Amino acid sequence: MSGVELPREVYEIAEDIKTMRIRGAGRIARAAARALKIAAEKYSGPDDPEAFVEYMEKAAHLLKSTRPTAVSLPNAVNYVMRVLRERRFDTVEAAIKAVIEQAERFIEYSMKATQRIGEIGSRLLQDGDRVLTHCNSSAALSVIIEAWRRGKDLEVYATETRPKFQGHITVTKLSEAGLRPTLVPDSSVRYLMKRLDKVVVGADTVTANGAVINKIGTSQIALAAKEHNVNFFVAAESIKFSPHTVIGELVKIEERSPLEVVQKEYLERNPGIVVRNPAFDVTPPEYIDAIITELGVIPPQAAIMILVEEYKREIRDELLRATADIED
Amino acid sequence: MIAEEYLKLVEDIKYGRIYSSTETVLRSLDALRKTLLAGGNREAILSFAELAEKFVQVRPTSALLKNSIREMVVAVLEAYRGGGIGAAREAADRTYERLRREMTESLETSASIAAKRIQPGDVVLTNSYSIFIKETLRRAAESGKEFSVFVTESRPGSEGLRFAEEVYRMGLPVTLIVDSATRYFMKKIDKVLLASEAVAANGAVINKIGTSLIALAANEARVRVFIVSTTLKFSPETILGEYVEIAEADPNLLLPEEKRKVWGDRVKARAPLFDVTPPEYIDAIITERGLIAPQVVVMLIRELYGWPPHVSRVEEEIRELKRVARS
Repeated sequence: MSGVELPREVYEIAEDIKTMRIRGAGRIARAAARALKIAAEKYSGPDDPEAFVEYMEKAAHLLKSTRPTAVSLPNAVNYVMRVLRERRFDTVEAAIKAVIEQAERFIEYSMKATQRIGEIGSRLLQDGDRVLTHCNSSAALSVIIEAWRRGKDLEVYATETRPKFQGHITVTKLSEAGLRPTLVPDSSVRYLMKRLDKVVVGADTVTANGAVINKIGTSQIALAAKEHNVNFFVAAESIKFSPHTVIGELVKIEERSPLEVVQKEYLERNPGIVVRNPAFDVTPPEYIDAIITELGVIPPQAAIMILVEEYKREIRDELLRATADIED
Repeated sequence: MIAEEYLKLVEDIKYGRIYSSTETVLRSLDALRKTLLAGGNREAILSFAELAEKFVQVRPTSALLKNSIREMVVAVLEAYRGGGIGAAREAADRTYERLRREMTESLETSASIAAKRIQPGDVVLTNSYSIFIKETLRRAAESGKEFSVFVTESRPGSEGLRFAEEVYRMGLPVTLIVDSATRYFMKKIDKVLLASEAVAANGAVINKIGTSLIALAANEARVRVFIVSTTLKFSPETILGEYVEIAEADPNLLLPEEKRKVWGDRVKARAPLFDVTPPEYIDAIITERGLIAPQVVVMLIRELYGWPPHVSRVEEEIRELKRVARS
C-alpha cells in the first residue's frame, strides 16, 4: 500500500457517513464523490501516476467500508474511480484533473437525478391524493413536492420512523415546501392504509430481482398497501441499483446500536435484554407497483435492465471475480 | 362532586397512561364505589352516575369497561330503587368484589390455557403491555419450558419497554425491537401472542395500535396468532351493529416540544390508540371458556347474553339512574 496519508477531510467524511451524520443514499453518494475529489486535490505524494492510483484506491476502499448496505456508496466510488481504472495517465497532474472532473460530473448527475425523478414521479400522483411516506428520502420528497408545485392538492402522512425519527426531517421539509403534513406512529400504518391512495418511499438499494432494500418498516408498509390495494411506489436513482446482486450476492443488513432504541440506563438496569436494531428490510418486488428512476418509471422486475444498461463494467468485473472464485 | 383524583384517573385513561385495560377497569370500578360514599344521598348517586358516564365516554373501545360499568350501574340502580343509598352502596361493593373475582379467575384460566400453547424452544412475539400475556408467559416459564420472547416497543406510549423489563425479571430471554422491525423478524417467530381491548361479534379483535399490522405480517409468514382474552371483553353491542369507536391519544406525544415551536400548526400528528384485527388473521381466541376460533365468538355471546342478545345500553342505564335520583 502507498504510504501517502489521506487528507483529514476524507477521514471526516467517512466518519460522518458511518455515524449517519450524512445520511440518505443520494447524499452519501455525493459525499463520497466529494471526498474523492478532495483526496485528489490534496494529493501530496510522489510524482508517480501509479502511486497516485494506489493512494486513490486507498481512499476508495476507506469510503466503501463505512456502510455495508448502501450500494449508492460503492456505485459512486466506482463511477469516479472508473477514470483511473479505464485509462492510463502519463502525469499525476492529468490524473488529478480527470478525477476532479469525474467527481464533479457525478455530483451534478446525482443532483439532477433527484430533480428528474420528481418530474417523472409527480405525474403518478393525482389531485386530492392521500399519500404516505416513510423515513426521509430526497427522491420520494422530490416526487411529492414536485406534484404539489404543479398544483396537485395532496394530503401527506409521514411516519415518525423509529428509532431515529427521520420522519421529523420529512415533515419539516414538506412544511417548508408549503404542505401540511401529518406525523403518525410507525405502528399505525395499517390502520391508516384504508384512507390512503398511494405510498411513496425511497430506496437504499435495488437488487437484480427488483427487491428494494430500504429503511426498516418499509416492507410492512408495502405489505399493508398490497392488502389494501394501495399503490406502492419506490423513488430511486439508478446509482441505487446493485450490480453485486447480479451474481447472487446477498445484501447485508446492517444492525445498529441498541442506544438508538433505548436509553443507556434502561440497558444498565436490564443487562440481559437484547435490543436488536436492524436498519433496513427487504421489500419483495411483488409488493411494488413501480420504481421511479431518473431514466423512467419501470416495473421492479425490470431492475435487471437498468443494471445491464448502466453497470456493464461492474457486472463484468463481478462475473469475472465470481468465475475466478469458482476456479480457485 | 366527583373527587379530584377520580377526574385525574379519567384523564389518565383518556391518554392511555394506564397500560393494562384490566387495571383501568378495576380502578374505575373502585373509584365508582367510593364515590357513592361521599356527600348527601342524592348527590352521591348523581356523582356516581356522572363519573360512570365519564369512564364510558373516555374509553369507548374497552368492552371490559363498558360491560363492567353496565353491571355496576344496573346493580346500583336496582338496589337504590328497592332500598335507598345504603342498599346501593352495598350493591356497589358486592358488584366490585364479584367483577374483580371474575376478572382474576378468567385471567388465571385463560393464561393457563394459553401457556399450554407455548412449546419448548418457541420464539414468541408480543406487543404493548398486557397482564393476560404476562400471566401466560409466567405460567409457561414456571412449568419449566424454555422459550424466548420478542417485544415491540409499541410507540407512541412505548409500553413494550416496561413489558420487556417485566418479562426479563421472570428470567425469560427477551429481545426488544422497534415496531417497524416486526416483519423483518417474523421469519424467526413461532407464535404471536396478543391481548385485546375488545372482541367484536364477528371475531375481530380491537387492541393496541400496531396489533393488526403484526397479525398481517404473521399471516403472510404463516405464523400462528393467538389472542389471550376473556369473555368479559366480548362486546355484545357489536352484535346489534354498533361500531367500535377508536380513541386517539394526545397528538403531542408525537410532537416534541422544541419541534412544535419550529413547526407551529403546519405539522399535525395523529395517534390512534387502537386498531382492528380482522378474524381471518387470528388463529384462535383464548378465553376462560377455552380456545375458540374467532368465528365462534358469536356463539359465546349467545350463551352469555341470550339470543337475540338482551343488552341494555350502558348510557341508557346511567340516564335512568340519574332520573331516579332526581325524582
